[in-house]
Amino acid sequence: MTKKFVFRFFLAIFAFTISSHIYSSIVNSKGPGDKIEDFTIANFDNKNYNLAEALKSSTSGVIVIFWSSECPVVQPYNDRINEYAKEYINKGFTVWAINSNNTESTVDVAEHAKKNNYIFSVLKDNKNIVADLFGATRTPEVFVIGKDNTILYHGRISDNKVVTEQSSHDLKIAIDEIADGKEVSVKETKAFGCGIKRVSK
Amino acid sequence: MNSVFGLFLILLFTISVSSQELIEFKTIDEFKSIMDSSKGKVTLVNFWATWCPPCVKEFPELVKLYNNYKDENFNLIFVSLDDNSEVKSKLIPFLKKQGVDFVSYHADLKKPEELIDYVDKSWQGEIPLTKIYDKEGKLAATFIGSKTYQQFEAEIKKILN
Repeated sequence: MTKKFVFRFFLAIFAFTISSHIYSSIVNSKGPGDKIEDFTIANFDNKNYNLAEALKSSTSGVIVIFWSSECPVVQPYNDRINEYAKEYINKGFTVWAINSNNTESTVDVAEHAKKNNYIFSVLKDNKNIVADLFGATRTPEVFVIGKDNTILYHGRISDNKVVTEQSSHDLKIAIDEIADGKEVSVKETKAFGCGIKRVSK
Repeated sequence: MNSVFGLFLILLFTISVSSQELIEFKTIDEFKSIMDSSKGKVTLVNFWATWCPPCVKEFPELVKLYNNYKDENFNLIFVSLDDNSEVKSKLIPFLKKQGVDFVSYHADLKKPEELIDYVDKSWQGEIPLTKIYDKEGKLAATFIGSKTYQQFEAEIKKILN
C-alpha cells in the first residue's frame, strides 16, 4: 500500500514536471562522442552518398555541414568556403554540405551549388531525414565524424560569418588536431544561425 | 525665449524616448538584470534578427500580443541578434515600421555562445526562439521556430490565469 502510494506520488510529480514546461519541438542533437547511424542520400547529381563508404575511403573522416542557399548566416561564407574545403580535403576529409530545408527545392539547391562552383558535394536531404539523424537544428552547423563513426567536433565553422571580423576558425583548429592524431581541444561550439525548416511529420 | 526653451525640452524628450526604445547589452550580467527586472510579470522573451525570415514573419504577432496584454501583468522582451553594422540601417527602421513603441534590446556580445548557454544549454543557436516565464521567473514554455498569435496567446492565457 505504502509502496503503491509512493509510486503514484512520484508519478504525479513526474507528470507535473513534464506538463509544466512545454517545448514546441524537441530535437535531440548529437554531439561529440555520439555515433551516427549510417545513411545514404540518392542525390540530384545521380550519385549515392553513403556515410559508411565515405568514412572508409577518407583517411581522416567526414565533415558534414548543414547548409542553405538562402540563410544570411551561411551566405557570407561563400567567399571562402571553397578555400576552407580545400584545406579540409587536403587533411584527408570528405566534405559534404547537406541542405535539409524543406523551403529550398532540389532545383534551387543544385543551381546555387553550380553558381558558387563548390569544390565539395552538396546533397539534398529530402524530408530532413539526415538532419534528424544528427539532430541538426541550424545552418551552418558542422559535424566532424571520425573514422570510427564517432562525432569528434560539433558546432560552428568560425566565430564570425564575416571574414574581416573572424578571430577563430574553430573547425580548422579541430580538423588540424584530428589530422595530427591529437584529441580535439574544443569539441563543441555554438553560434546563432537560421533554423532548419523541417517538414511536418 | 520661452518657446526656444520649450522646443529644446521637446527635442530632449524625443531623443531620450527614441534612445530608450532600443537598449544594447554587452554582457550576460546585463541580460540577467533585464530578466530580473521583469520578475513579477509573465514574461515572453523572443530572440530574433531582421535577417531571419521566420522571425520577421512572427514579429507582428508578438507586437499584437504585447499590445493586447500589456495591461495584464505581461511583459515582452525582444532581443535582437542583428550585427552591429545593421542596427541603424535595418534594425531601428524595422522596429519603427512594426510600431514597437516599447523598450526592446539588442545583444552585442563578444561570445554569443554565452548567451545561448545561459538561456538554454540544449539550444544550438537557431532562431527564432521564444521563452515564456511565469511571474516567479520559472520557465513555462519554449517555442522553436515561427509561431502564430494563437499559439503564443494560449500559453500566456494559461499562465496569467
